[in-house]
Order: sequence, then structure tokens, then C-alpha cells
Amino acid sequence: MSMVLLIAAGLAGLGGCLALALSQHRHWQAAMRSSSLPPRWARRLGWSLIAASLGLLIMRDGASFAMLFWPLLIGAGALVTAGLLSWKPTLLSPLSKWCTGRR
Amino acid sequence: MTRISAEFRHAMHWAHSWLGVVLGIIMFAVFWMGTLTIFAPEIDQWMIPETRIVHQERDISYDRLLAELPPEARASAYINFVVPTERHPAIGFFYQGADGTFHDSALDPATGQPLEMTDSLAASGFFYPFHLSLMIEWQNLGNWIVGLAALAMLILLVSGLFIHRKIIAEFFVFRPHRKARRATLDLHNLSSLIGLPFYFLMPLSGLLIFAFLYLPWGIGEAFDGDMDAAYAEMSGDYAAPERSGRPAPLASVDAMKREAEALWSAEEGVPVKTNLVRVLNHGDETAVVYFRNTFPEDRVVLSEYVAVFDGASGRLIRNFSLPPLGEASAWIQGAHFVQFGHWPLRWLYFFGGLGGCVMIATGMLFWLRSRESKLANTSLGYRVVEALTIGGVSGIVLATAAFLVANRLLPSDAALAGIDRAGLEVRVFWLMWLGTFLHAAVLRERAWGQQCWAIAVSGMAAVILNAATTPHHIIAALSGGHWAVAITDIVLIAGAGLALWAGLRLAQNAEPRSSDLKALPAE
Repeated sequence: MSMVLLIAAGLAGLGGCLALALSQHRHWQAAMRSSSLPPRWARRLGWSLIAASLGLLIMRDGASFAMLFWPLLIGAGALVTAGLLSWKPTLLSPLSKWCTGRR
Repeated sequence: MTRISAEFRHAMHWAHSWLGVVLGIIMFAVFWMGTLTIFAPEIDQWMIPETRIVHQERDISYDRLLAELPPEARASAYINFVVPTERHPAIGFFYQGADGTFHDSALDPATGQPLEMTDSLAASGFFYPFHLSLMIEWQNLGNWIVGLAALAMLILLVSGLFIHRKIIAEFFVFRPHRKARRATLDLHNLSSLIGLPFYFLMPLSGLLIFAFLYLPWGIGEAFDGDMDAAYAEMSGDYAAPERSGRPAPLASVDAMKREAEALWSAEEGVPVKTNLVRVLNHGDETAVVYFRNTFPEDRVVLSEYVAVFDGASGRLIRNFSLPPLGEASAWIQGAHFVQFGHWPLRWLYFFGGLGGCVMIATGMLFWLRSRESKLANTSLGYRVVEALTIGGVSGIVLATAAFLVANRLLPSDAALAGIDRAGLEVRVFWLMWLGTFLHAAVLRERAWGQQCWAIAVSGMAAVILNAATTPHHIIAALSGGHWAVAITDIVLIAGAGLALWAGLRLAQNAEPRSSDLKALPAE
């Protein structure tokens, strides 16, 4: 159970960073290779996922550990996001398409 | 958002550049050694192979260990046992000899016999003190320099936030293929932002841990300036009375240990074990037995349970637990000491520490890159900063690798000009570090690549030497449950690979760099 919570928190943190990055014009356009505008709710989704990862970590270890773990985990998510965007932003286009398809 | 005036930004920029350039190397050294200290017990096992013991829960009888004390320790004023744990599988054993000198050794947890150990300061004896004092002991000068660097780091983090014009818009931006100067700044910004809360917490908590040294007056005021009394009141430290000279047998230490642990567990609601068993004035009627629990496994907040017993009667004479007021500072201290049993968090700390190293290194590199274009790169000041940056970044990493290689190469009876084996290992570190500064001063930019190659070669050499000089090569370590050794080897290989890659990249860039230089002023 604790492993599941850890993985879920990691995925939520990474997903949150990806959504926040895609909510910005330059990254959205690089990922989609188009001049369309990022959906408005991407930013809200990003913050919600980042908050969710904090919630999962508090559930797993309590607030005392989560206060240390969460900022570092989000930092790792931001690093992976920046790495993906700089290396192959189009890898993110299926994600973006999936997002817009649901709109 | 309120606009930040150009003047204010300029002032912040000035503070950021100069604090960074003056204290950058110290900050890098402290961050680097702190990062290694996160895994100090594991590196200790790698460097002192006799302590590579697979931990088992055992009921160790301290009565028996005390009965079998070496003769010179029997009348010691200070005997200290460190209870073995998974990360420290041997029983730590310290005592003060009759002449006042301290003897530090380890006992086999299975037999209680002293371990014949490789003479090395290893990580706990070198990386850790380096992290907090740069090994400068005179008048606590080292602590003060590190404290100054910690304070500077807090100022640098705040001023950096003001200088950065597009924090939000460029949060996730990294452009490695742009010009070197731009890519360096991107990496500096990215590595700073992703670890920002961690980089704040580390110098802040470090300063707090040493508040006693840095700001003693306020604390001492409540105790009429008696710092020892203040310290004893806050930590539960206990000073033994003078030896009376009348011998008396010691009551059962094991029974006292059970009583102390039962007391603490009742207070805490979960089992609490002692980390330390300390006997003061052994063999005397004034003997005192002291137990302490400081590092709980399951939470960040340090605990500070101390129980002191009268040695002759076995009666509890002092039961100390941390006052609740200390809870917040105990969390901050616990966050810095990283002694809790949370492995994913420990690894994130390690990568956070490396991220801090990247932040400091790219900051110094950017200082150089923004000045080379102004054709100031022949000035003495520029060349000094350049040599200090190269030696301070790749140099200290290389010196660390050389320290590990020396640990595996020096024969067990090595001694030179009155310096023992452990001292020689440390000399290798300092000489290698000094050498990297000279190398950088002479070869300038080319030194980066060459030092990267040297790091890759020494990192791999350390792994090969471990396989050659101990029975625990990676495969054997993994299958034998020696995780500490296996992981140290794997991290060494990964580090060597990274250094190799960096060396290759630098060699590729060496050619076009000269034309790059000419193109830069147009940027």
C-alpha cells in the first residue's frame, strides 16, 4: 500500500508539472507543433495534481515527512518535465491531444 | 505584481555576483561533502571492509562487554558503546584512556571481540567534519566560515529570485543547444528553482544547529552566562562527579537499559530503543550509566530521551525528555541530520544535494562566461577566479575519488614521516585538491576536460580496487546482502560514466569554442 501511494504521489507530481508546463504557450506550441492556444483548465489541472501528490504523501508518511518529501518530489517532476521539453517536446503531444480531445 | 525598480535589481545583482564569486567554492565544498555525508555510514562500510557485517537483531549484553573490557579501559572515566543498527552494523566502542586520549574502535556484534579495522577516517571521520568545519579546527574558524557561507547562501537565494526576470515563464526552460553562456544560465536557473525549498532549508537548519556556537549570548543569559549549564539543561547532558577512588561493582547495565527503554516506550506509545550506552567512572563507587535515544527511525523530529542511573545501585537518578517547546527546532535539526529510516527521502536528499552542487557550479561558471566575452579573460582576477572555479568544482570531486583510491591502495601498515595510514589518506586528498588548482591555473579551460577524465578513471579504479582487495565485488556484495557496498560501487560507476560523458562533451566543444568566443559579443 505504501509503495502504491508513493508511486501515485510521484505520478501526480510529474503529471502536475507536465500540465503546468503545457499550460504555457511556448511549451504547448512546441509539443503540439501548432499555434493553437493551451486549454484554460491545464493550469488548474496542474495545481490540483500537485496538491493531490501532497495529500497522498501526507496519507503515506504524515505531514512531518511530507513537508520534506513533497518539495523534492515536485522538483524531480519539474526536472523530468524540463528534460522532456528540451529533448523531445513532441513526445508530449499525445498527452496534449488527449487533453484537448476531452474538452 | 509590483514592479521591481532597476536600481534595486542592480543592487541585488551586485550582491549575487560578488557573494557567489567570493564564497562559491566554499559553498560547493560544503554542499558536496554534505551530499556524501547523507550516505556516510554506507561509505564507511566501503572504506573499512572489516565493518561490512550483515545486521541481525541481537540481544547484546552490555554487562558481558563491560566484563570483557580491555585492561586499559577498565578504570576509564568515559566508556561509550553505540548500539548497532542496520546502517551501523558494528558496535561502536569509544573510551578515554588513563592519559586522557580517546580510543575509537568497533566490536563484532556477534562475538563482542574488537574488530581489526582498516585505519581510515572514512566518511564519518572526514567528509562529515569537512562538511561542517572544512577540517579547520583552530578557534572554530572552520565553523565560522561555513556559517558565513550558509548565511551567504540564503542571501544568494533571495537575491537570485529578484534578479531572475522570468521565473514563471521560463520555469521549465532548458536550452542546452544554445550558446554556452545561455545554456549555463538556463541550467543555473533550472537547478536553483527545482530545489529551492531544500536549498533554503539546508543552510537555515545548519545555522540553527550551530546557533549555540554562533549566538551563545542570548541562550547563556538565562543561565548567568554558564554555557555548560545551559547546554546540560537543553540536551540532558550529565556530568559525572569526581572519582572517589573507592572501587565498587557496577549493577546490571542490561537491567538499567531495559528500564530506560520501558520508560521511554511508555511515554512515546511506540517502542523506543537506546542509541547509546555510556558508563562514566567505571569501577568506582561514583559510576554513572547514561542512556540516550536521539534518532528515531519513523519520524523527522529528533527525540532527546536521556536516562541516567547510579552505577552502584542501578537506581534511576535523572529522566530527561525534550521539552515540547523544542519540537519545531528538533524537526528542523532532524531534517538536516537525515538519520530517519526513510530511504526514498534519503535518495531525494542525495539528488537534491547534487542539484545544489550543479546550481553553485553553474553560477560560478556563468560568472566566468559573462566576462570572457568582454576580453577580460587575460586579467589576473579572471584567471584566479577561473582556476578557483575549476579546482573548486571538478577538483574537489577528483580529490574525493583519489581519497577512495588511496583507501584501497595503501597497505595496512602504511606510514610516512610519522603520519599514520588514515593521515596519509587525508594527505592524498589535500595534495590532489591543491594539484587541481595548479593544473587549472596552468591549463585554464582545458583543465575541465582533463579533470573529468581523471574523475572517470579514478572512480572506476576505486570500484576495481574494491573488487581486488576485498571479497565483496558488486555481484558478491549484492548476493551477500552487503547493500552499502554494492550501492557505493554502483554510484561510483554512474559517477565515472557521467564524468566520462562530460569529458567527451567538453572535448567535442573544444574546437568550435574559439569561434564561439568571437561570436559572443554580438549576443
